[in-house]
Amino acid sequence: MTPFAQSACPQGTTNATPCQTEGCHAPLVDPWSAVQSVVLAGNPNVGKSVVFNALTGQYANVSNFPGTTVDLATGTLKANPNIQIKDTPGVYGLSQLSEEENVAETIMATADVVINVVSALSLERDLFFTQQLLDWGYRVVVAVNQCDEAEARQLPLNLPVLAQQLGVPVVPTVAVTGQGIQALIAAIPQASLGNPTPDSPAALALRVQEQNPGQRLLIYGHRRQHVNTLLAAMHQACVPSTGVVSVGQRVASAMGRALLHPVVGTLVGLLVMAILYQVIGVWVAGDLVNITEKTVMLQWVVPWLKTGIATIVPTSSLLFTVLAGEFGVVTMSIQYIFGVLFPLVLGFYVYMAILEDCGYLPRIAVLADGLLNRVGLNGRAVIPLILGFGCVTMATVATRSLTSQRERTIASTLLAITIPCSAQIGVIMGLMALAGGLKAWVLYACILTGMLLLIGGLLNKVLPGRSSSLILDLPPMRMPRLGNIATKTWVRTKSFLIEAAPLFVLGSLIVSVVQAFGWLGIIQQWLAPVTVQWLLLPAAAANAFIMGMVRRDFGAAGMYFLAPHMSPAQLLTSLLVITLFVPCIASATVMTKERGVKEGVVVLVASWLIAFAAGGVFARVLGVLL
Amino acid sequence: MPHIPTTLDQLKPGQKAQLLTSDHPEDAMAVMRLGLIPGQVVTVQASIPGGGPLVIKQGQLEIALGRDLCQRMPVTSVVAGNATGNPDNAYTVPYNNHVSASA
Repeated sequence: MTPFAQSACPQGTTNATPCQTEGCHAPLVDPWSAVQSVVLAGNPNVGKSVVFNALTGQYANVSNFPGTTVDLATGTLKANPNIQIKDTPGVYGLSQLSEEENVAETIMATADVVINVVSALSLERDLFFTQQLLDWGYRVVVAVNQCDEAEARQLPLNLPVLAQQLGVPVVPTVAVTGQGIQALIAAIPQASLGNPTPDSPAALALRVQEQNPGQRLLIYGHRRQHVNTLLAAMHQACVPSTGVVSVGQRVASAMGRALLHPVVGTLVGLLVMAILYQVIGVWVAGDLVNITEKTVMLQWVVPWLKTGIATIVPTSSLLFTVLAGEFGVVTMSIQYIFGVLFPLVLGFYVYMAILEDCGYLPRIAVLADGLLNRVGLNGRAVIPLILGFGCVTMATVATRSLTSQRERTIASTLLAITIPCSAQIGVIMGLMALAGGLKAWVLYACILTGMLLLIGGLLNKVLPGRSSSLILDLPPMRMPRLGNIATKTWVRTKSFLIEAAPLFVLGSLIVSVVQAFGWLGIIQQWLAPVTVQWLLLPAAAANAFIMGMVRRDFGAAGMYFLAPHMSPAQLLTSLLVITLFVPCIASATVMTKERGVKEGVVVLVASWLIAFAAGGVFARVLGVLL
Repeated sequence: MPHIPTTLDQLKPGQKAQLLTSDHPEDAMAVMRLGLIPGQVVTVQASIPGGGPLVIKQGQLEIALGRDLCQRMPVTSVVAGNATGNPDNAYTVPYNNHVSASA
């Protein structure tokens, strides 16, 4: 089978004129001699990381770009290990408008060749960045990804004409299946400077001019106009589409419209959340984690680890307590990371990847935008907030996708204080029956939503500046594809665990040291009077609060022993306090890493104060209601 | 006399309008990156009530724009039957802001 033969996506390199602007190399010279470093660049959601994985194989190295929280993946070309390949964060342009754009620009400065990945589904948007790369004087190869889907939708594509218009090689790819990757590799040495926007200044002068906001707008307008012209030229060269819209596409576009309908959209949104709750909250966080943690970890792995450590370190020593005691750093880290976190994060990422791949996620963002504006966020923040119901640590990492620092601060604060994670929800669920069932659930949900609106609204007032408006392109609805989901889930789960695992170890270390020296007891004693007199709870509840710091679900689980001795109002109050009280050590560590020590500490202290201040009020109000 | 919309947020689903040059460079650049330039005719697909965003369509693009941004986005309304239907229309609308060589 020859991919793309007779298709809307014919191989574009044949008509390219790579030697138009630069002196051609003599044919005998190795075409790879001038290429040592290849950088991938492109807009978000065009499949850039899938192309990266296809080019490098599995051995990519993901690390933070120095001094930032932006991921940087590096590897070597699978077919030629002498060629270094670097990925860049997905950006819409290089205008130093965000940390990601700065990082992308810095990495691209090291490139001999830039592979610009664009999506065949959104050329109008993506070619704007392509044109900027040409205007800025990079040597470029364009990979038009997702060609199969464009073909299915009969989008007007003529890649030879596009290649001619841009003046650089254009290669069609379907990165998820690996189609076109060999052709892309072969095209790398043919990368060329291409055709800059007519009448635009020389690359270096232009780069300087684009730093100036006033001139940038003019340059942008000019560039946009040029891109639209060259797209029009490509459309003219296309065989007119039959105009026959398939049933599947009609259904997809009707669904896309229906999901934006306020009533239908809200109902579907609630249904999606209910399924999420059942799948992640009940099946994964409950049933599956029961097996992975209680059986695999606690019955097999942890005892084996303890025996192993005991052969080296005497069991009576302080070191053994720190390493393998009740909260030992080795035992607890492994138990938590592989027994709880891995299944939870994996399950959540699968669910989110399905929603993302079928095009639903941006539509939730659209529906939630109005509400989120009130707390100084825009619709984009709905994604980290939903992730928070899975794992707050994972969600805090995801706040990076938000546009401004202001929004990141608000979102990570709301996550730390008002969102219960699935481990916690699982335990709380069991206790809600004792606290009054449905009535207690409704009160719990309303109070937390109220706290979210209150704290978010307050931050929106107090923090300087203004949050950015929603600007989001909506991809067409489609059937989710297994390959995409598997790749996205795997890449995300892996990079999250690699990043978060050391923080969980650090968190465990802090707790095990605190415990080994008996400091937990001191904090409990100090907390007891507040618990009894202000929260109207038994003194032993302070114990559960402290455990909540170690792991949020430990705190809630601690309530099991106390629940029979408490009234429904007391129980609900304590569950609310545990939810508001502390992010777990891991998420506090991630928060501190993402947002800086100062902000991390402020949020931590604020969550203590808010949880206890509000808890006293809840205790009195709920005493009347329940 | 019917109300003539002057900013994007005043349009109802199904209505068309031509985008004008925004007074807010940040907004203008952000939407330009996604493919919208002054002079283009866009159709409102949906308007989410309660201060929610507008979803607009232009060619293959479907873009959600926050309500506050739409309030800052000047438009002129397009009478039905004029400048509609032809997908190439958007490319032929003159755009006069060129980069000046003296800058």
